[in-house]
Amino acid sequence: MENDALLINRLQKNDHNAFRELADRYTERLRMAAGKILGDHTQAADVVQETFLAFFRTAGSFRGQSGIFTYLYRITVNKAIDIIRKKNREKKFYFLPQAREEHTDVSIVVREALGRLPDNQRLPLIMAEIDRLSYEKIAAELALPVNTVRTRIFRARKKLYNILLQMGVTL
Amino acid sequence: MKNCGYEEMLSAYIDHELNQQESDFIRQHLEVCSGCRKTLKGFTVISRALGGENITAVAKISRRFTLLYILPLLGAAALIVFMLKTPAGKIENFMEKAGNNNNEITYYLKGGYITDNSISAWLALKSINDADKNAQNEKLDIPVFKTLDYIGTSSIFPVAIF
Repeated sequence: MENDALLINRLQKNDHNAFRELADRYTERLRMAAGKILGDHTQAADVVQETFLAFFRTAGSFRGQSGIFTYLYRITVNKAIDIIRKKNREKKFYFLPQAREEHTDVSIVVREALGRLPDNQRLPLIMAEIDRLSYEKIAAELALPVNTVRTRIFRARKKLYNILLQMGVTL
Repeated sequence: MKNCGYEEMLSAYIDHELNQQESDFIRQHLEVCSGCRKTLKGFTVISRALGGENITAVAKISRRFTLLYILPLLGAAALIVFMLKTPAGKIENFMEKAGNNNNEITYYLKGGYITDNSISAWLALKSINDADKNAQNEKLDIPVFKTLDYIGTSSIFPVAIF
């Protein structure tokens, strides 16, 4: 398989086959990540499509500071989180708290809470939880030391845990 | 969350990122530490939820959270009720007179027919003050807090909440 640097080179020369190859290479992984965050595969497909469109529009200025996949992954995750935030805002606007104690789907609460994590914690956590990547692979993808990845994943988990407790979820 | 200093190891433990020796240590520690067991349970639930499992838990909406939403709405509702009770003519009439004579204000606030609608009276006076505070204060020669003395505190309550 052609490496990312060569692919980028072809992309910047507007080689349409390179665009197709890029989409073939990463669509499934991105769609899976977006699907797990959103819990909705149709929306996930839309998010991935938007991600590629956004990338193709700006491919000429891509400097390759991070790998293509990491770059696309970041855009996808952020777009998915934006959708969750938007849903959350609409819910807050239209509904009052329903009851003093109620059964809640933790996965929905956790997905919403993901939006409150800083980008540098959210990305390694999602890579570990959703892509099931090892710390070593995440470190390679994000160009970080393994210990930094471990610490960021832990901080992300702790923050999510505290958010759940603050929201009154009994675990 | 009780902090033993092993929380980061717990996080790595559920990702299977500890070596055999570290894993054994954590397992032994979990047998004696309820705080770490609770943390591990929390991390595991988060992990399962992110993995797409549907996990149901009981969520208690805290009193503070409820009051935060409910109190301003109650205040706003009370204010609307008070305002709807007051015919517009009375406020205009009052404002016209209030602009002219300090004694008239005292009359309307203290013992006049507007007593039942004292909140409207207060709002009318406030709007005059807001429009041209310095000039009106000189003209009326009464500070706002003095005016409030004429109005029952129960009438002020919804405004204070709002």
